[in-house]
Amino acid sequence: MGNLPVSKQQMVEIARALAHEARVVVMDEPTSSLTPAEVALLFEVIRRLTSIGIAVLYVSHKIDEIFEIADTVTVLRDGRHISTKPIAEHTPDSLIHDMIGRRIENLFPRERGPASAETILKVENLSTTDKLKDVSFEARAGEVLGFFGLMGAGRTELAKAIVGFDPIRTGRISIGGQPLTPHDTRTGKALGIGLLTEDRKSEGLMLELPVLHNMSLASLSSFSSGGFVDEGRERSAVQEFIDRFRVKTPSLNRQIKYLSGGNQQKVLLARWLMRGLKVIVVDEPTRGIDVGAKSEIFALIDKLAADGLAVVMMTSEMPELLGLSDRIAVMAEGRLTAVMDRKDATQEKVLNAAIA
Amino acid sequence: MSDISRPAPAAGSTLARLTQNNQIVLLVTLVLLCLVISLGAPQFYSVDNLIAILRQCSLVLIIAAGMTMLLIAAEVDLSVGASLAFSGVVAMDVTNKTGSVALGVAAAILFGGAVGLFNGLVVTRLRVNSLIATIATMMILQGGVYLYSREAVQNMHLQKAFTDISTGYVGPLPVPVIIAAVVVIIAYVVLRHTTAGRYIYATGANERAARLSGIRPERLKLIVFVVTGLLTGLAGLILASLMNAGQPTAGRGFELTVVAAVILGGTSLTGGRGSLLGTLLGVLVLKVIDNGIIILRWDQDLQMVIPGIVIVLATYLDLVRKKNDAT
Repeated sequence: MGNLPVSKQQMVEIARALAHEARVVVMDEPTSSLTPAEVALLFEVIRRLTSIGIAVLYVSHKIDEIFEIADTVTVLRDGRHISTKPIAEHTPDSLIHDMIGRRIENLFPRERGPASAETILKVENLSTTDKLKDVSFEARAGEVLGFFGLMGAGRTELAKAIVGFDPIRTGRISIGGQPLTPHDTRTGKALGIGLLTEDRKSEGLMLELPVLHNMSLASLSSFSSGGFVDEGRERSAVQEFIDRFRVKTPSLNRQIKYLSGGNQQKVLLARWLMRGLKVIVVDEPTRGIDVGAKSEIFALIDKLAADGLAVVMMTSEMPELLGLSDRIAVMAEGRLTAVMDRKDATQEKVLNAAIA
Repeated sequence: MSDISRPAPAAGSTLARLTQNNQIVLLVTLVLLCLVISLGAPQFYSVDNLIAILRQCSLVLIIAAGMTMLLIAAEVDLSVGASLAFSGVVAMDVTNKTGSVALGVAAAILFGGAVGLFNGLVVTRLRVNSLIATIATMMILQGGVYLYSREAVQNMHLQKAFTDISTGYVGPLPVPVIIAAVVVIIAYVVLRHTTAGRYIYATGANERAARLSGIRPERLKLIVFVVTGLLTGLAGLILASLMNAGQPTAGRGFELTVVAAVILGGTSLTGGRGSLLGTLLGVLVLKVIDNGIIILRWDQDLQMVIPGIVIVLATYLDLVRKKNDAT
């Protein structure tokens, strides 16, 4: 069972529910690790279930999915019931309004100007032993370079390799003209590249530690002299980012595990920005974050590029990719299969390159 | 400036409250223990007895300072008991052979440091789980010390400086107590106020996150293993001086006393949580219980039984507190 792909495991789960003569099947974020083809298959199964009189309770934060599959939609916010309506009475805007309690004018506001011509990150012929094959690309100051790919295309592997976290077999990485050697995160940090991980819990957060320590982790050396931390300076720098990013926390000493996903993400983003980076790699920056916080993260990413950072964004969300990127790179099975300007990109083109 | 003098209530943090709570519980326990014992044995409060308690604490404290850092970094060293005995044997033997106390002192501390280095390398390079690695080291040392010397190495050099290490006084305080106090203060400052201390917490709380932030967890852990080893060597030296012999069988089970005190002090076995103040209180509680059993003339075997029960209770209370905090 453990060897089956997630999609097949789900089918087994559904079959098991039916074998127990379930009248109601509850699915909690069932598509979070499925490919588009697998999602289509799952929806087909759901439609068949409902046609034989089984109720499906489908929990999701993906709006397009809700419109595709739901008959009736119930919105919960902060543990409270907000609304229950037939889907026909909703528009995407009204649904988002119910979800976050206010209207979002534009999910992808673009405030920044065009990217500069200056190349900051240069990756040449990068290969790793298990996944990446001969990947080469450049990222410029002030641009968002979006990487799209299906599950297992190698986006996360690429993200971890270029910041020095995972070892590489061959290839060259340079940041601001300086080679990333030795290939480790310490050198990466010194050269100005950092990763906002997709897996907050296991690679980002120190759950038991306070917001203060979580945020200052990467920049501690700049608040210390002779190895001693100047906690006053540390606190005021952290407070500044808390205010600027509008992080909701009762105090700097609050353990970070009590913050919402969106606020945790802001703290982790600030962890790098406090230090001052040239390149930030963000891997699935809005995973597990509600729509309201998402729009804030998008605005922050836009702001980062406006400040002259090169932003390398790994994403499996098509709207995010098309909404934020200046250029789009597509990966399939560890290779780079296409790089295109945003204005030339369409959903079909991107998907074709991703399946290739 | 205005940022630094932010409203004071913000400082009443959850984390601080949590650890303080644990420490307050320990402090109350300590006071109650003292009261109860002194009711049964009024001589408990004599200066001699208090000094005796402190002296007994000092050996445990010296090693517990290193062990606290190790546990915070999510590692453990169970070879400290065996290393303690071996370093003591080395200290006495080297002093016998060279006639130099300085060389004996250096040899004991370096021997302990070398054991720490060995543990650290096995854990960080070979990636053997530290529990297993250091049990293996313990076995190697327990066997090795007999290969080195079949029986206790007696004091043949008769140097006063050597015995002064454990029996000397500075003012009213015994030398070992002063050494322990210095060690504890330094370790406290390192953990609380330095980048190295922060990185130790970070490594224990989430090693991958620490590495992603440009920290080198392996190197950090290696250093903490070596520090624990050096401190064990230092304690071994004091022990040899105290017993006036290098005793291969000394220190059996000492590692358990140390780990127990550290855990009683609120340091988590899973890493990322703990404090030296807690460890200090943990050691005091265990040693006051020891002392109480002796001066109340209870069965000495209770010296193992009661601490065992105390640790179960303390860990359970800690769990309850964490649960309450979460809701």
